[in-house]
Amino acid sequence: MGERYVSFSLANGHYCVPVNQVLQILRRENLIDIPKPPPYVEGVINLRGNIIPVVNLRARLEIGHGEKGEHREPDPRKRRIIITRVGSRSYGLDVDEVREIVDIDESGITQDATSLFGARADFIRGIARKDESLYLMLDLPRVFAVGRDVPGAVAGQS
Amino acid sequence: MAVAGMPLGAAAGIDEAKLRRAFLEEADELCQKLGDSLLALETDRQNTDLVNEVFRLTHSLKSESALMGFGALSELAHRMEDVLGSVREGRLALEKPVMDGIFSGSDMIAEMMAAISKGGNDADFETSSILQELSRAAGRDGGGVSRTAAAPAPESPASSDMELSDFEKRQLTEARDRGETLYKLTVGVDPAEPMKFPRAYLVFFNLELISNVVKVIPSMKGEPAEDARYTATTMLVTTAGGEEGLRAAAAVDQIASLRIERCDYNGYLASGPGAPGIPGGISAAWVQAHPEYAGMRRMGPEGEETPSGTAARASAGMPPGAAAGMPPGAAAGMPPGAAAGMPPGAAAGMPPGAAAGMPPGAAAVEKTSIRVDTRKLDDLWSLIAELVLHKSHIARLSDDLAHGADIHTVREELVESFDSLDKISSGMQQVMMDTRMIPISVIFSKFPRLVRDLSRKLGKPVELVISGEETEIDRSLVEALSDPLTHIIRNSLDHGIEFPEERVRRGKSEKGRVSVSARRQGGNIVIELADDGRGMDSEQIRRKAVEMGIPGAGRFNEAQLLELVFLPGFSTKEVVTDLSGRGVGMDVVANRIRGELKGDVVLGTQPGGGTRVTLLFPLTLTIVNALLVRGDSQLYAIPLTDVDSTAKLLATEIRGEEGREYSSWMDDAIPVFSLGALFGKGRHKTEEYFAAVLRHGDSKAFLVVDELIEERDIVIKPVDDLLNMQRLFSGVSVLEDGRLVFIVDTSFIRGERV
Repeated sequence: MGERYVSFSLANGHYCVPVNQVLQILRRENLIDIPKPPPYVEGVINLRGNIIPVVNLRARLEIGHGEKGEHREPDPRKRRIIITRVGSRSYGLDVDEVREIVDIDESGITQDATSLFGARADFIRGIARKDESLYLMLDLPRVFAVGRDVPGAVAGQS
Repeated sequence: MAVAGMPLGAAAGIDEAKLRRAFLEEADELCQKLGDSLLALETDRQNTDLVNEVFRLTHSLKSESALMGFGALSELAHRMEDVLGSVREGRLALEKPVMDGIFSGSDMIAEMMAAISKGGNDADFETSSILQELSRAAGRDGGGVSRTAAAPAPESPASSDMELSDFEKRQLTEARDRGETLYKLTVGVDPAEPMKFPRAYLVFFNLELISNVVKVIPSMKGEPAEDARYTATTMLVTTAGGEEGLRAAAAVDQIASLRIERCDYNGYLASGPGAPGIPGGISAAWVQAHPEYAGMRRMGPEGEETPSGTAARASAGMPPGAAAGMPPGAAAGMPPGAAAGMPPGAAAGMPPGAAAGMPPGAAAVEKTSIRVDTRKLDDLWSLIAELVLHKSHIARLSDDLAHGADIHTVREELVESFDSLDKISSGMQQVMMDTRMIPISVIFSKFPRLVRDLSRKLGKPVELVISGEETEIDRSLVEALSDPLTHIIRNSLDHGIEFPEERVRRGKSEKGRVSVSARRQGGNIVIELADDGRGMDSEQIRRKAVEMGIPGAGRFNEAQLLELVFLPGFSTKEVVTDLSGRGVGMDVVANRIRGELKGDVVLGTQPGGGTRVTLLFPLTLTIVNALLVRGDSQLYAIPLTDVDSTAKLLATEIRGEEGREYSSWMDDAIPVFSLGALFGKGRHKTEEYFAAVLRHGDSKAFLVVDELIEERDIVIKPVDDLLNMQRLFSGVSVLEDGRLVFIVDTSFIRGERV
C-alpha cells in the first residue's frame, strides 16, 4: 500500500501533503495579523496557545505571477487552513479547498518533471498521477523555509 | 462528525511511539549511569560492586534495546556484557585495553541513543571495530579456561535455552516432513500478576490441543520453575494450521503480550548440545528477539538474572498489537481509513497528544515527558484544593446576591476572595516554574568524562573540581548551556592549562586544575569556569587587534580588549587542534549566552595565573517581567531587564536624518528607533513622543512607541523564523484576551553608535 495524502486544490491545480504530516484542518477564520510579515505569510492563528504561522500558498508558489491561464478566485466558504507538522514545528497552509484522502503508491511518483512547473518546482517534491488527476506533492520543509521570497529569482541567493 | 479533529499526525503506530519514548527515557538513564559507573570503576578497578553495577547496566541496555529491535545496539551491549562477565568471574583482569574497549562501547551506545532519539537508527553505526576491540580485550583471558567450563552449570535442565534434545529434533524433522510450520511463541505475563505459572500453563494447555508443542521454556512439565520466570514463556510449536489458530488458543485472560514468530526449521535442527554458550544471563525474551542467538545457553548465576526486571517489564508494557508482532501496516492502516470520511474543515479541539507534543523551540521531539518530584505535585494539589474552595465561595456569593444580600458585604467578600485567588494563582505559577527546574548536574555530570578524555589525549594531567551541581536551572536552558560550557572547558584544557614540564618550570603543581561551579544569585544563575593555566595577555590581544585593524584597539582598556575574544574569528592562539578547532569559538559562547539566554559572559584573566569565565543569566526564560507597549494596533513587550527607563521625547529633540536619528540621553547621544518605522508604515508625526530607553550591554537607544501600557509578567513562547524575518523578536506571547504580543529582542541596538 502506498502512502496516504490529503489532497487539496489551489487555483487550477491539485496538490497533496502526506496524511501523517497533517495535524488538523481548520476553517479560515481568526487569522491574526503580524507586523511586517514576509509576503507569503498570511498571519498567524492561535491554536490552543500555540502561535502558528499561516502560509499563503498562492503567494508562496507564485500562482498567478506572470502565468497564463485563468486563475479563478477561491470560494471563501471552501477555503481552509491545513495545519501541518514539520519537525517539531507546526505551520498552516492556506488552501482553496480540501478535497480528499488519496492513496499514492511510491512507484507512481515521479521527480523528473517538476521543472515543468517553473518557479514552483522548488517547492514540489514530486508529481503523482492517480486516476485522472495529477497531484503535485509539496516539499513542506522548503515551503516553510525562511528566505527565498522570490524562489529561483537569483541563483545562489538563499 | 466523529472524526472531527482526529489526530491525523498520530495515525501511524502511536503505541509504538509511546513504547519508543519509554525506551529512550529508560535507556538514556542507563547510559548516563553506565558512564558514571565506568568513570568510578576506572579509578577503583578492584571494586566488585562497581563491576557488578556496570555489568547490570549493560545487561539492561542489551535486553531493552533487543526488545525494541535495535539489533546493533543490543549486540554491542551484549559484547560488553560478555567482557564484563569474564571480569566479574575473575577470568579477565580489568586492564587498560579492556577498560578502553568498554569505554568506547559505552560512547558508541550513547551516540546510538542520540541518533535514535532524533529519529535515526542504530544500524547506521559502524560497530565492527569496537566489537573487535572488545573481543581482543576479552581474548586475554588466558585462553586455557573454556567459558562453558568456567560458567556455573545451569541450575535446572529447564533453564538451558533453545537447545533441543535429539528427541525434540526428531519431532521437528517429522513435523517438517509432514509440511507443518514452525512457530515460536512468546507469552508475556504481567510481572505484577501473583500467579504467573497458571496463566502461562493455560496457554500451553490450549496450544497442546491444536498444535504440537515441542519445547517450552521455562518447562511446563514436572515441578514448575520459580513463578517469576514465567513472565516470559517461550514455546516452540509446529502446526498445520495458521497463526490465527495459535493466536486464538493463546487468547487467555491476563496475558500481557503474545508474540508469534514463524521460524526456520534449519535454525533449530542445526543447534544442539555443545553449541558455544554465551555467559551472562540471556533471558528467554531476549533470545526470542534474536533468533540468531537461539543456540546459546543461558548461564550466569540466577541472582544476576533479570527476567522479571527490564525484559519482562518492557514486554508487559507493550501494547498487545505491537507485542504480538502485528505487521505495522495493520496499525498504520487503521486511522487513514477513518480519515477518508473526514469532513473538510471539521475543526475541533486539537488532540491533546498533538498539543502536548509541541515542544518549546527546537527541543528534541522525542523527549516530551519529564520526571517531577511528587512533593511539587502535592503542592500543586493543595493549591487546587484551595481554588475549588474559592470557586464555591464565589458561587455562593452570587446566590446570596440573588437572595437580596447586602451588596456591600458581598463586595467585601468578593474582594477577599479575589485576593486569595491572586495568591493561589501566583502559587500555582511558582509550582509550575519549580517543575520546570532541574539540577545543573545533568550538564556537569558529563564533564569528568570530558576532562578525563581530553587530559589523556593532550597529555596534561588535570584535576576537575565541581561544585554547586545541585543548583537548579530551567529545563529549557539545559540544551542551550551544554555546548558553551563544554567549549569553555575544552578551551581551558587545550589552551589554558600548560604541559606538565612547563607548569613545573613556572613553579606550579604538575597537575592542572579546572573548576566548575554554579550558584543562584537573586534571580540569576551564575556559572564560573576557571583554570590555573597560562591565562591571557591583554597586550598580546591588543597587538592582534591592531594587526586585524580593529579601530581604536590601541586605546582599549583591559575589559574592552578581553571583549574582543568574543568576536567571531578572533583567536590569539594560532595553533588549531582537533579539540577546540577554529570556527566555533568564544563568539558562539557569547552569542548563546547573551542572545538566547539573555545573560552575560565576563572574562577575567591573569597572565600566568589562569582564566576565569563567568556566565550570568536569568533563572528562567519562560516568564519575564516586561514593559508592554503599543505600535499602531500591535502590542510589543520589552523585557524589563532591557529597559533602562521611559522618557518623553519632543519632536524637536530628535536630530539627524531619517533612518539615522539620534537624541541626547544623559550626556550622550543615542540612536532613536521607532516601532512605527521598524514594523509599521513609519512614525506618526506629532509634537511629543513616548519612548522606552533600551539597553543591551553598553549600548542604549530610544524606542519610540505609540503608547506605554504597563509592566507585567508575560509567558514567552518561541517565535517561528517565518514570523521573525528581521530577527527583531525573541519570542511571542498571547494575552488573556487572545491578543498577540511580540517580545522585542533589544540586541538590534547593539553596535549602533552615533
